[in-house]
Amino acid sequence: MSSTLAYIWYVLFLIPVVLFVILDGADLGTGIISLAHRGPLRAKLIDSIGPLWYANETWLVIAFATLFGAFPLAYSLVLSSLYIPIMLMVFGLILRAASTEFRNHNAKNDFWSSAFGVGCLLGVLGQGFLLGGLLSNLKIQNNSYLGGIWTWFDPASIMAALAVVAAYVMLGALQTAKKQGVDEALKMKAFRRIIVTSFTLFVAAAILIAVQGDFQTYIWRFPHSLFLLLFSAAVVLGYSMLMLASWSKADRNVYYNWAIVIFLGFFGMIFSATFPYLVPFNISITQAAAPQRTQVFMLPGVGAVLFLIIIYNVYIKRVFTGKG
Amino acid sequence: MNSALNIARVQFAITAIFHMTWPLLTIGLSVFMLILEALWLKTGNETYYRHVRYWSKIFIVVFGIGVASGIPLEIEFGTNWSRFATAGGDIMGSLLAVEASTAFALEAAFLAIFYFGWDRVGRRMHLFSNAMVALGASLSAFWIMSANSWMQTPAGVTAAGGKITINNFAAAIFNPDLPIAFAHIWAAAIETTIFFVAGICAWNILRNRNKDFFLKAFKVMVIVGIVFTPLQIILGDASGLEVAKNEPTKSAAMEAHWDTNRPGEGAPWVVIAWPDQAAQKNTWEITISDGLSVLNTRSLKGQVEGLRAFPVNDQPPVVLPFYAFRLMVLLGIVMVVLILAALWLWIRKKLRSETLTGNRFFWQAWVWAIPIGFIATWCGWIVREVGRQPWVIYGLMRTSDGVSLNIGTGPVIASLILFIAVYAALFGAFIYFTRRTLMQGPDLNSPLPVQKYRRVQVRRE
Repeated sequence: MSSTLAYIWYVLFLIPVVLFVILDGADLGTGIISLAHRGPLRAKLIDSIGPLWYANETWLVIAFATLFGAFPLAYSLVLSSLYIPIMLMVFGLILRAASTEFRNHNAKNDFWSSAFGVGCLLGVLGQGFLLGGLLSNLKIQNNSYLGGIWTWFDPASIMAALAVVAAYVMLGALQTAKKQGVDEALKMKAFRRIIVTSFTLFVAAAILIAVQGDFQTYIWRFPHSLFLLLFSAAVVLGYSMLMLASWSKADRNVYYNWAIVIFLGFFGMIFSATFPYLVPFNISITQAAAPQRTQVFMLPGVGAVLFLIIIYNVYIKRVFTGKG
Repeated sequence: MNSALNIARVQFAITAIFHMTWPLLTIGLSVFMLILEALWLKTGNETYYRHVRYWSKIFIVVFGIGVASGIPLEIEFGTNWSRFATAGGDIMGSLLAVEASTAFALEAAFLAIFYFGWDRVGRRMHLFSNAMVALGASLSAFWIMSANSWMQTPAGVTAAGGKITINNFAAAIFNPDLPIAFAHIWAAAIETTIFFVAGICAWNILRNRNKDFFLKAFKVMVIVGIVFTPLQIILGDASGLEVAKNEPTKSAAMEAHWDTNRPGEGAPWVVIAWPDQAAQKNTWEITISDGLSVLNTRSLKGQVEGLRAFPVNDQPPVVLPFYAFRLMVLLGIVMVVLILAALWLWIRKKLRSETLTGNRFFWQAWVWAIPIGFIATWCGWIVREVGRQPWVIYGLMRTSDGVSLNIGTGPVIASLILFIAVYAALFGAFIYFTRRTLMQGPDLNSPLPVQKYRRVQVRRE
């Protein structure tokens, strides 16, 4: 089995995941923020998200499909062992979709606006528990899962879920600030509070995850330690720049770009702490990979098209914003 | 364990039936809108443009519900059917991955320009986007049907030690069931859309709302229907023949055919019966002699294997496929009759706006027929999936060997209840919105989109 091909697929899987988290994370975060408000302000916040929610979910569909196609073993093990987080996420996303449909067609009442926010919150909690569960050393032996349905539920995964919620809220707040007309939603003081909360929860989650099981020893090994250090530095830098920007009168785009740096830093940290494992410390990328024949078959379909879609999305953005 | 298996099956059945309702309309409406937009560009007749805009409003809602309800299906392979996903993942996973990236992403991406881009891109680019949406929707159905038909007639693989290995991808994709299964479901999408659209037209005509506008679309639907309603019956028959050849247990179950006919005698076709699986016979039945031999072998005395020829634990349930199949056939015939009735009125020059009002029953029948294509397609899927039991991959893997082991009944029941709740909300959104769109009527006055590409200036601070 060619391991190079497996790593290519690992990257092709990560691309839609990163795109989904960053693009949809901002929308989901805004949805969560809307829960804290009432009436017209809440409606305005949700309206700022725009009608293209399904465009983001396209990335989620591609991410899952890529994982299934390229790493069927990991797909079945992760999804069945993390049944509740997965279902929570999917349920939240469908609830959001349903309430968006109602709201888009003039049922802008408080019920569907609340349902929208709750859908976003559940969807994000599901993602957070999923991350926490995945990083909490699933009990897998001989390619089968030995734990129970609630095994993932521990302090580390709870903290991870809270950290993900806070990070999405931060991203959502920044996206809202970037768009015009919702400035009043984002008083600088509240903004700073969001940044500090997100950072604190991130540190707490990172520590809780790092002290469990195999992480303790694994993360100190070279070159994992080096990369982990570099990516953590990027995250810390991102948070610091956000704080600095919040005191100055910086361009709103600057905030958003630093938030992207933070998120890429998160991914980099997870990558450094787990590589070459796909399911941390149980199943490596090459072990989980589908046979070479399957990987080669999918390559023109998924690999090439993925880049065409990205180019196309840039084109769409230009058509709709007139930029560039 | 058995109850966990059954509840997982119920969950998959409900989520699958709910999901597949919407792609029927997105496939059909996208093709329909492509025809209308091409007609607009060709003839310059504004009505066609108004129609595209009108139906695209419904399309976007249907598409959204389709996306939202599709995610659970993809997920369930991993969550509830993890052993199936592990064993068959090389083919199922890769086909779903190719579907998501080449077809679904194409559709979703071009939908943005199609729906929001009327004033942003030129008309040719817009028509191209419309074509890409239609292509994406149909291509998506192709890949999904390839994966599903591979479960019916697994080809191109070798199974050993609980793992199914691919040795020929082309054979796996173009497995024996694919051509007819794809043709049958694609025609079903077109047919379902014909009756959905024409029924909405009839609703408006009955109420004297924009009669001429809706009569135009009604006539287009009748013309398409002249081709597709009989074609679907031919495709259905061909599909039955293919099933008889490759999946004898499914074929025998859907026909409640228990005993193999003796040489020199034809197998009867059971019109209606009460099948008793425990006794391995029909309690009572009305039959047409030699009918099944003709259908399945194209000869009067051809041999058709009965269910008793197979061990009981290799037999699918009979009652559900048997009745679902009959309902599907019946609805297929009703659709032909409705099209013929419309044709009859048309020939007698009764499909003109001055002469429309006299045929209330006719129009009312078309309104009642709105769900008919959906119901027929659900029945078809029930025949297809229940008839394949007890196998998840026919002949290779039993459904009971594919289910996840670590998830008890509780979590699955909980998730099922949640799914039903959000699906009810999605369905409510669809009804609510379609009703509103109907009440508002088409927009006949807004200015046409600008002709040339115009870059929209956005003020930047």
